[in-house]
Amino acid sequence: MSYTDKTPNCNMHEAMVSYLYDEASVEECRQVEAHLVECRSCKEELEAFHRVRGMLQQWQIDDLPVVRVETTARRSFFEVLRELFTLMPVWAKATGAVAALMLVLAALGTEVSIGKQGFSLSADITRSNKRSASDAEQIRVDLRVMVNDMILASERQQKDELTMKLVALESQLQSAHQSDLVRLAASIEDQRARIKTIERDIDRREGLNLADILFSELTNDRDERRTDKKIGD
Amino acid sequence: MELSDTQIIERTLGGDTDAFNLLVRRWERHIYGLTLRMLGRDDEAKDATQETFLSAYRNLSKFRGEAKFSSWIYRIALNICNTRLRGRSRFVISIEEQREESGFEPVADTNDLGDNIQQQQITLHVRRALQSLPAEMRQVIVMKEYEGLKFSEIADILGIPLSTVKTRMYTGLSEMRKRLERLREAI
Repeated sequence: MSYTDKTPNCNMHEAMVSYLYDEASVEECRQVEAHLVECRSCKEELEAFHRVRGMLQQWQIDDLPVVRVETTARRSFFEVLRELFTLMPVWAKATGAVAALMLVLAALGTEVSIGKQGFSLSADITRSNKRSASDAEQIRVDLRVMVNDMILASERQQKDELTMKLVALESQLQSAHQSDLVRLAASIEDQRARIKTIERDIDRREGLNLADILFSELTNDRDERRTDKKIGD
Repeated sequence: MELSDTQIIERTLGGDTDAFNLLVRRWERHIYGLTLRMLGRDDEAKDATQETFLSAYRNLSKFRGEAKFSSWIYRIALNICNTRLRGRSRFVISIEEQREESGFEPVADTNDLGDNIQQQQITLHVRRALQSLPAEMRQVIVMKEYEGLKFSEIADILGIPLSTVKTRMYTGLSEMRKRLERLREAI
């Protein structure tokens, strides 16, 4: 029997893994076994793969996580809405009801008027005659005026807010400036006091030096006189 | 008689939501094993397992009975693992890969160690070697070696040709052989 080294012609990759995991067909088994008899390299590789598999099997899992899936029943959109409505506070329910009513009235084209006759409602669908073109024009003009008024009011409000902000800013700056001045004055006073202390210190030292000089001159004169006297004797 | 996965799913979709927990108990060990071996970190694997079942529950109505539930949930788990792996720092992985590719240094003369410690050593090195493989090879090895799936099932789960699965398996084993060779010599 003569073994050969592995060559690119071996081309047994797929068949070999199938054989390794007992998934090879009869034909594949026959081919692989015949090849292993001749090819030393593939034979060694297959043995190595068996060893790798043995090592892989050493890694077994002991612990297990606690998996919890919240399996609450799926609810429909209306069920969710109903629950939301139940949980709502009374004021929210009332607001919702009024809003809904206004929407319905708006959809019906209802006109609300308060006059001498009191409060009255009239729905578009109940009126037989339609609004004339002049009415529509009047409404358009009124709307334009209303929108312009709203824009002007908004601009005025913005302007007022801006002015107030500027005033507040100016006040802040002034107070900051004042406090800076006070700090500066205190600092100057402090420096002046230090300078005075230093001046006093210098004066004292100069006085001491003068005394030393005078004192030392007197001592020298006395010593000289003593020396002269000794020489005369 | 034990209910099949499909029957449990039908019950869950029919309103018996607690039935889903039967599926969780049946598959949690498999999914945890898959995620742990794919991610290599216990805490992350636990999170991924939880996420897998939660995702499965939320999308249960999309499950088609044509495929097996196991294939479907393995696919969900792998997608979650791949997303987490992509989110990891490339720098950290590259350092790990560099270290693993140079082989493993056994920490001590294992002849002097007890069997238990020796097995722990092997487990540690296997774990590290597996982590250093590219994810596409690792997932094939994990599904084949630990989950015992057939190559055709793996191909179905991953949506790739059977020959590609076998090639990845072959390359993955060759890489593992290289990485574990020094360990074998040491023990």
